[in-house]
Amino acid sequence: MDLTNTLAGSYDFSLPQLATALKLGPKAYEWALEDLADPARIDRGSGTQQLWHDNFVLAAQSLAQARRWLPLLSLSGKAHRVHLVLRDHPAAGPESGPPTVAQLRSGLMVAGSAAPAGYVAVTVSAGNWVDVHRAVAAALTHFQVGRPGSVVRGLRIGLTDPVHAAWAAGDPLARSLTPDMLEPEEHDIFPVDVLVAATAPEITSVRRPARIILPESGLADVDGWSTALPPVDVRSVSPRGFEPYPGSGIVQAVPAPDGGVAFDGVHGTAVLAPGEPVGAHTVAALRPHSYVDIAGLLSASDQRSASVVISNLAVAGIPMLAGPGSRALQLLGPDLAAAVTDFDAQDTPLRRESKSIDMRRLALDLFEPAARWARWVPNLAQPEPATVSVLLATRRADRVREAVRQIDRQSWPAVEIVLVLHGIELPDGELDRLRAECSRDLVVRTAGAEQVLGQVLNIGVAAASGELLAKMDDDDWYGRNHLRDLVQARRYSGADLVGSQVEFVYLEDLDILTRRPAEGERYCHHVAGGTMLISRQDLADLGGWRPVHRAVDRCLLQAVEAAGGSIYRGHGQNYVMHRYGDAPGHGGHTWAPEMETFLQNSSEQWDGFVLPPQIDAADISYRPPGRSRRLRSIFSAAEPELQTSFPARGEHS
Amino acid sequence: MTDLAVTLDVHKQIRQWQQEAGLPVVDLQQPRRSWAAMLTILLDARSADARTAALSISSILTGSTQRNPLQVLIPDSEDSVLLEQWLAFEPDVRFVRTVDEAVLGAQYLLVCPAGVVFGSHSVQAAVEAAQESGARLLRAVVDGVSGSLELWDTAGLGSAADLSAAEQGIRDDGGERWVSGASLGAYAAGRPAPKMFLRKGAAGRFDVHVVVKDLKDPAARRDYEQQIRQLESELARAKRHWWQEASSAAPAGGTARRPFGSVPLRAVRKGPRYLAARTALRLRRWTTG
Repeated sequence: MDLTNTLAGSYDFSLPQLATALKLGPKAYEWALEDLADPARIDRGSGTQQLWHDNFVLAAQSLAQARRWLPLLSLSGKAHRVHLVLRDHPAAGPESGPPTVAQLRSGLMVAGSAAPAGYVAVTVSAGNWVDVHRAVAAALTHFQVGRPGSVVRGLRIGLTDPVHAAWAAGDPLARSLTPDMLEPEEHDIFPVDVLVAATAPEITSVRRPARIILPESGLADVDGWSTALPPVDVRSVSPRGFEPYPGSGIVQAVPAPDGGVAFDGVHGTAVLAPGEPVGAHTVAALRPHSYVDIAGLLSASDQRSASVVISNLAVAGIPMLAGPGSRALQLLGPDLAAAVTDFDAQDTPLRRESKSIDMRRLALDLFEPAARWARWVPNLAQPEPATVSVLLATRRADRVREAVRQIDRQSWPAVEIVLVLHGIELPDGELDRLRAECSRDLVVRTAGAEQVLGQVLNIGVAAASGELLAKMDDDDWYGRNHLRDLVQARRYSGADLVGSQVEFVYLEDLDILTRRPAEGERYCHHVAGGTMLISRQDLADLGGWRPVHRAVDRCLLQAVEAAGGSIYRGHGQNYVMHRYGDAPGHGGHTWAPEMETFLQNSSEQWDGFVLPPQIDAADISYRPPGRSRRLRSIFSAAEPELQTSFPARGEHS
Repeated sequence: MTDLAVTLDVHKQIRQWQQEAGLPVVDLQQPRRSWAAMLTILLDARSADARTAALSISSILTGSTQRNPLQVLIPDSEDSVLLEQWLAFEPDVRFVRTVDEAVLGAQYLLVCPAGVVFGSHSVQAAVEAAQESGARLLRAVVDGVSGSLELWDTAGLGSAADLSAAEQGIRDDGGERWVSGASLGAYAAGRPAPKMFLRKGAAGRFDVHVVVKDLKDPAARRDYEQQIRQLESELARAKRHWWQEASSAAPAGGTARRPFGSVPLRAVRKGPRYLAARTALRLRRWTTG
């Protein structure tokens, strides 16, 4: 059998350079080129015809593009070796590194090496023939942080035209279907659940897809759920990397002459070719800029393509400047269109970030692949959101009511409250009143005062029934969308544990709100204990909470990392830590260092009890006592009362 | 007991306090400047004992801005008498009994509660922090000390009475900024000094230790010559040590020893006594068996 080397995808790579870098041998100069964007490729193919290659190279400009092309490779047959080449992956650099070998989950061997031409190449082999689609899917997980797997929760999407590849959002279960695959035998099953096609195909078989989506028919829909707009591949484009303090100015997004999109002012000019997806590299190039002015994009002739680009930028949380009223914005739906046009170049960085959070939350609700497909095919995709059990362990009876109310106000629909009373009892009738006021399931457990915090939390875990567990504190303040944002972050990051940084701290003694330097959304090693969200199964696999009296959060973070898991930090505007005036002896579980800790690296301060925009002050019943008398100015305060005397060196404990 | 004897006892007592607190034991005999200074310091010692106040005062007066006038706010008491005796010969230190008696600096007034120990550059760091942040009132929390450091921008304020209403006004305008005492190098007496104090800005440029000696003085000259000779001898000893190390590290069968490597030549080199001893040993082995 005379085998060829096949190059699929982007053709602007130097073939001799590729052959040398990939060590393809003497036959490397005979190439077959496969155009993944050509519909005829599917028309002339056959589901039963097997293709064979010596080397199969998928060359893509970005990870997002490779993920988009993944379903189209289901008809590409098998090869001795499969190479995934990415040009704009962050790992690509001028220096060539030594090959690394790792065993993938799928049992394939991958040998990766950075080639000197500014791209990275991953070679996948199995010692024998390897399925091209399976190998590329495995290679893509090599680049992916977080959990691999289906982004549409198991829904099988079929494509009859490569132009609709975006509707699969990089899902590894999605398939290209040749005409003969649309007519399975009666005893067989239809290969996919739902078909995306330009026109409804005539299927004579009794085995049919449950639903056929025709993107063109959705152009008139303006409720945000138009089938004309594909989902956004959130594993490639997400709020990750948002910069709260941009260092550069406004960028203009304008239609390029060839039908693509140009971003003027991004290191010169960044251009998206026609049909090229917005990828992580495009988003990364836009991050340092304060705003993207999309006025030019909104006047483009192809309003649908403009709308697709804007939906991606909205999911990424990139602040945009636009006037209302264009067709492209209407396609996004009224809520998201309003959020996109809500930015003002005069906004403070805090307000800019808050508006970005509002916009990305709406955009993720609409364009996250699982959510969008659940809306389009409600009987097939999973309709129910994940249930979150909130663990609320408390030693302060006086804080229980407000803490339960705070959780009850959460916008995430499926919430269960697991209240663990640690060595305390509630007044008579208080529990009944709580249940009457609360619209959520309220589970109450008690733990003896002699039990340590880790044991108390494990009692709560045993009583919880949700598939996700969130830990919240009784004395801190949370925004209404705290749980919603964490669940969304868990989906798009694929991290095993998500949470927030302690950015905002209210210092009761000083009567000021401080903000530590915001680091933006990113994978990290630490999140605040009162913001952790982890799946019940993952927590069980890690052995639950460590039965110690303090530092249980740190122990869990260590366990996640030691088990090879990942931790993701979302934005910090949903959480304000309350630093009591009488800390550290205020009787709670809270980490309570001395006050100087919270003033070190304080990037911003606000006088008085001020809350970040994501927390509605109307929800908070707390009334600040005002600045502590001992910390008022010498000119404002009365005579000091306490005698100040210090021990000599060595006497201080 | 004479006044001089009393003063000496006070100095001795305060040196002991400095020693116990881990502060450098220094006498306050530094050049001072007049009261027309840009910055004045007001130490609030109303609720402190003499020892606590003395530690703060000595850290202020031995810092890099030691030439700034200092006012000590302390009521009449035994403690105040002791402090006044200690600082009797310091022209730029004055004692006030009430807040209203305090004199504002031309530009800044630094209010410090007794018990705060300043690092060498703390005052300058506070001024720079205020300038960088644009704060009209910079305040620093020092864990372990009741109250806070206050650095007031006094421009536009006529007297201490104006300041009583100024705090709320500055808060309302967003002109107040809080920092940690550790970021200025300040800490509570009795606690360890901040482990790392990075002096930023202009303060870092003054972190130079300069020793001035007059070489016309024969004693200083002899001292320098002796130091140079000592360095030369250490250098020579290091060279010898290096040569010995290099020689012992050479391989036994190396090219440098090959001419003397054979057994007969080695025996000749070791002399007649060695030859006689070897011959006797061999004869004894031969006769015994």
